[in-house]
Amino acid sequence: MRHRYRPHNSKRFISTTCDERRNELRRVVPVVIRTGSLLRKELLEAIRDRRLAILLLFALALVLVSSLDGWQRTADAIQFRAHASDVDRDVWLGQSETNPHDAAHFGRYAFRPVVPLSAFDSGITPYSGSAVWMEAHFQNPASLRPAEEIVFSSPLAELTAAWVIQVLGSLALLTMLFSSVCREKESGTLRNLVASNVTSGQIVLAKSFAAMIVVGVICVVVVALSLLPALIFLGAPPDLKRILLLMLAYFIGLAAFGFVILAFSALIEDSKTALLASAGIWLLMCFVIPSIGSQFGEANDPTPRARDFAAAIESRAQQPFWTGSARFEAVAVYEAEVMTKHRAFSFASLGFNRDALVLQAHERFANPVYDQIYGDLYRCHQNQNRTLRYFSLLSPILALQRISSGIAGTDTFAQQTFLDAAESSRRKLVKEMNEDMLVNAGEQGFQYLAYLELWQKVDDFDYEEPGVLSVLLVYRFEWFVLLGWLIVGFLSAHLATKRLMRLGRI
Amino acid sequence: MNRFWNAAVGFKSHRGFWPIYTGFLIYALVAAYAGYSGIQWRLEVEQEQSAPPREFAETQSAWFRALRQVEEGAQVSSALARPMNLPVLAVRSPGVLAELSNRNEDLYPSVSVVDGFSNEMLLFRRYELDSPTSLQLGTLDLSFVVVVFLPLAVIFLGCDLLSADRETGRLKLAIASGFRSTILLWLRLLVATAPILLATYAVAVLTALLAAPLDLERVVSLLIWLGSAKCYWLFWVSLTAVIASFNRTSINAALTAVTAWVVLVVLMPGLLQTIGNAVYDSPSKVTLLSAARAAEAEALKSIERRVEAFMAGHTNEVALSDANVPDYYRNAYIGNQAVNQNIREQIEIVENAEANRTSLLQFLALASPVTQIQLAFEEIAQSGRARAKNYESQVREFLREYNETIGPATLAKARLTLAEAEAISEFRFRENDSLTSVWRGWMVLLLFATVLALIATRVATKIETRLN
Repeated sequence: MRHRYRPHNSKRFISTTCDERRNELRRVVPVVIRTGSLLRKELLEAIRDRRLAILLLFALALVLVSSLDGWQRTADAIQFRAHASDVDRDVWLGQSETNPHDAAHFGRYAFRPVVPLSAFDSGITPYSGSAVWMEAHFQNPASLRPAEEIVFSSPLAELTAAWVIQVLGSLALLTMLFSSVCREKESGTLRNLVASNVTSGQIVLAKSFAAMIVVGVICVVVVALSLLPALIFLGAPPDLKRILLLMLAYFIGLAAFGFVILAFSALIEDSKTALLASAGIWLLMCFVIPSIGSQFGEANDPTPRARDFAAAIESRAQQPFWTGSARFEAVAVYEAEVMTKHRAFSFASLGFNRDALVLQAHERFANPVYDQIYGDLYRCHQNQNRTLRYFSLLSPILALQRISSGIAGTDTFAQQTFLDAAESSRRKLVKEMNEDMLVNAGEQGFQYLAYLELWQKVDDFDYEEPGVLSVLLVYRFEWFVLLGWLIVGFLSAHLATKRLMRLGRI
Repeated sequence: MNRFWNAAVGFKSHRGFWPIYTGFLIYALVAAYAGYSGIQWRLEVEQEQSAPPREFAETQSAWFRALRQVEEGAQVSSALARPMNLPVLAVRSPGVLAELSNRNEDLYPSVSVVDGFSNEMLLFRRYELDSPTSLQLGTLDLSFVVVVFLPLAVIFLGCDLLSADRETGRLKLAIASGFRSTILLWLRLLVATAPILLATYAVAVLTALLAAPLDLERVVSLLIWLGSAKCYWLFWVSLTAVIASFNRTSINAALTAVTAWVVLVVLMPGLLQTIGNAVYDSPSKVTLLSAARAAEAEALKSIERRVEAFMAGHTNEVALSDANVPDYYRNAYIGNQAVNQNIREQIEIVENAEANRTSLLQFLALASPVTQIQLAFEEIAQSGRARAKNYESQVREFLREYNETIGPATLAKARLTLAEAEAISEFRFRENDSLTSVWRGWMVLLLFATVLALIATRVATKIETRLN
């Protein structure tokens, strides 16, 4: 159906729309002006607040000190690991003529490369092994945890730039916001605001915008400041994408925490109780919930005891093959594969070495067993981590800590990627050694010696840090938690202020 | 008496009793949880260590059985009872009161198997199974609760005791009614915060009772632990008294108290850790590992020369007895000796750097009551890094003795005598019974507490004079 053209109606329509818009503007402009004035007042108060200024200056000084220390240590660690990798390569290539299986027993080491952002957020790096011994017959856990070298551990945490922002940044926000709403009531300004038709939404908007501006400035300045020493020690800034993501995460995390404090400030009617309650919440979110979450995870999925673990390796990966009956089947299957590969009717006709066949058959037998044993161990770690992830529902700071270490590449996910890469490298190395002995040793068996050409065939351990996208996917729950806290925090602050305004009106 | 009671309790706080109950309840609950987890940890570790692993026990008894048969003149395989194969279990059992202070215990090795194939670098490997996240966040033990939460509970309950009354004018009224401001301050502070100490005592005693039987050593240690907790409580009560009396408004008092807590509990120990690590740099374990690998590779290249050198130095002890024994043992022994010699120097450098760091920290910690109490708790409970390092050092020392005993027999392709084998078949960990950190901690805390108490009393008296 076609519409008929009606000019007079259209004019009326335009005139009505303009009136509506004008009326709307008349309604909105004062609201915007009032909110803007409130925002200006809040920002001025924040700037004039000496306590906040002192705390921020103090935090900045700490960030600078901790990041200088962190970058210095990271630069040292990068140098140590690079040196260790060089030594490992030299030692491997410098082997004199040796039997390949002896060389596989001597093995090589996979050193976990130090990621540059570990200076900003060391995450679990100090508590996770930095090297894996890749040897024949055994898959080894990562060893050499840097934390064991720390002479004195502070009861709460080691000072890193990330820690200072998470803990002192949130404390600075707490100092700024704990009395933000209740002070209005105490000083009587709330009645004035009610009388001037200011709504609870406008108050919360102004206060939250002010807080977010302060948080934004803190995030940009502090993160940039803490990354500055990278230029001195490493000569180049770390990955820009990661830095921007870090800034975003810290912004959302701290803003969410700020809203929670704002809500408390509106809920509790006197400043002192609001301060003590906020400090309690801060303590819970920064220290207690992460600690209890970790213990809860450990209680739900206990880590296998070292002796049980060693016994499992012995009884499932070693004994059934060397002293049990599993050897015959494993050797027969591998022998058949070798014969098929080389199109031979009998193994003897190939002139290959049987000892090497047995040794590689053991590797093939043990690898799936190791996948199970270590798979159970890593699954247990993942379950513990999952529990901690759910505890982040109770604390935006915990969610922020997890995201921060993920982006920095110092989390469990990055460590697991390293361990998987090391194990693949071990299996490849041992297979190369055994296959060389299989093909070339003939009747000489263990008397057969290999030379530099073989050692040179073995690739150096190579590990690629997980990409940003995969990290974002791994921590998607924590991102949702942060956003959830942001929204819930804002709504709670709004509702609590509304309630207070209603009381103020009464 | 009634008057004093009124001063302490009857003179009602402006904020009523609910925050007091809540603060106390939260502290008591966290402490109880920490005590429970300490008991669980101790029971698990003791259960694990109560008997050696089955495989280990079987291997060791089979080894001795074969050696006894040899000594009785029976024919046994040349592969049995070789000196290099005698396994010795070196265990670090939980300290006397470790259930109260087990926060970082899982970080350090507590079991090692010493045999001829171990070297000083590889003694403590394959134990690192714990989740790094759990290690990073640590266990919530009672010592941690006392160090971190007790101060917060004390300042929460007492930081505004005088300032709030000054603010509302009630203090003037009370002084006019004949109360002394110092009595008002101290009695109320003690009454408000004593339940925190009593709750700590109750949890500590219950934890110690339930975790393991209380013998004389544990009772004495528990008493010293309780004494240390009391010194720490006194320090924080005195500091809270100063805060309560100095500030005119309760909000300023609360802010000062929170700042004091953050500086003393969070920042000072963190800074000490940073300074300690930055001032004395020591080679990392990765460097030690590289040195060990290079030494092992070098030794493997020159086994024959090294064997000859060893034999030349031990002409009396070494006489080739069984040519059927493979060279494998001899080569492994020589390789490990080369590794040990090479990295011993590096380990000494590390140990010296650590000793320097420890001395520096002990000096700097004089200004940090929190560090003092933390070190004291670890020393009393026999836990923490110092004890773990002592254990590692003793196991290394034991390995050296072990190697000295098995060396001549291994190179001579002979066996040990039963007496020699029995002498090295058991490792006993010797505890360091020193309580230096404890006494130093007590002195520092009591000194600080006295000075702060005097200041608080003086300020309270001045307020009284001014109000009169």
